[in-house]
Amino acid sequence: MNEKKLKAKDLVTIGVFSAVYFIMAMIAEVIMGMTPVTYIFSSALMGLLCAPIYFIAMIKIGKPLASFILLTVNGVIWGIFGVLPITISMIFFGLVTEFILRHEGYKSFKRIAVAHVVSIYSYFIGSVFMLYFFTDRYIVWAVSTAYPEFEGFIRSYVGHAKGVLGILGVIAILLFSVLGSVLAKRILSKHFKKAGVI
Amino acid sequence: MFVSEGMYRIDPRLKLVYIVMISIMTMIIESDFVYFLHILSISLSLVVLYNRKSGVGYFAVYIFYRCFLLLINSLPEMTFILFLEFLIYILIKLHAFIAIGIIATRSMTTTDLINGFQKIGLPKSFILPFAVTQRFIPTFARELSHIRDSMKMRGITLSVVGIFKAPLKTLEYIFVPLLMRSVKISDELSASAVVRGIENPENRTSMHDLKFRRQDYLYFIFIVLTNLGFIILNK
Repeated sequence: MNEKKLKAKDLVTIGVFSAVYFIMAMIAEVIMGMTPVTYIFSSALMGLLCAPIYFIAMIKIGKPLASFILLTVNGVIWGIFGVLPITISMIFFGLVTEFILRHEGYKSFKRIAVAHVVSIYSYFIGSVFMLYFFTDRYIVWAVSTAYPEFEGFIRSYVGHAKGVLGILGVIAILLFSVLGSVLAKRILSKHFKKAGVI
Repeated sequence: MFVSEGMYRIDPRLKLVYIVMISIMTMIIESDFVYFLHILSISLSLVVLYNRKSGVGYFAVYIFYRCFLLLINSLPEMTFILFLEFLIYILIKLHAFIAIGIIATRSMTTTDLINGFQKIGLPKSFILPFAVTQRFIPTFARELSHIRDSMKMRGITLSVVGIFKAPLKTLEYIFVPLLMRSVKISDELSASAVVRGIENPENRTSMHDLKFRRQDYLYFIFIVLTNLGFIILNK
């Protein structure tokens, strides 16, 4: 039997870690969603919080398609909650992460870190796609479906996101994802390798 | 967790369709009146898909939010009141998504979900992780509270000050037990799944034959008509 093929055990593991990954993303969204300025950095916090989960999932499973399936499941859940661009972007970038992790990439911390950064950017692109490319339509849609007094919030969010803060947000994603990866590596080698979990 | 397939045993594929419909409609509905009708139709659906109590309770909570909002609006404008108003409004918007949670986790057994997906023709490598995720998300909060309890027992409390003082250390305190638990749960879950023959390459068979019956057609007509109505009223 092909050792590189995902077995039922691996698929269940992906399922459990997808759930934790999704909840961490939700926590980041909720914490950072309080003000328009912090909301721009929600993906950055997600990069920090999701890194250990992504790392342990990839290293524990260690077979091709693990990253793709994890991101696809997450994307589909976001799609169910109504954010379809995230679904599309996560599925597409899921394939990109597979490309990064090909040829034993699942064993290399560095390549997993790169894949992690890409996956966080995929979430970010999905969530801001409408904002950057269809700004007017985004504002009309967001204002019409939100509370009337939220208009100020939405307009100031769009204003910040399209200004310097937006660029800072993009840089912060990289920084925090890398920081998350460093933390993940530390946690994994300090605790999990010793315990024989991975 | 108590899972019930409801009084009429509606086809899980229809439930999946309805879940997607709820999220799309919640995103596009603008007026408060149409949103009210949307919530009413969700409550009726909950009666059909899950049980009467949850449907009535779901609608009652929405009415409570609305009444509370009216009450707040009649008070003088203060920062605190405005904040409360925002909060209630967010809760109202989230209310539709809570229905998605109820339908996805309480009215559908994992077996149902897997059978439904299988009938649609999705690959097993997607169905299985998705079903596990759908089952695991609700139990996650309990895991987190266990972790908090055991941290308290060792004299470590999670506080905002602590997070700012030593952010990486605090993260480590949360992540290590969380990941350990996740690894353990995934091992146990996969062992139990393997024992039940999940690795069988053949398609699963089901005790209940999945096909559209009269009640499914009626329910399908109900959701299509109501949602079409909302789209027309929304314009």
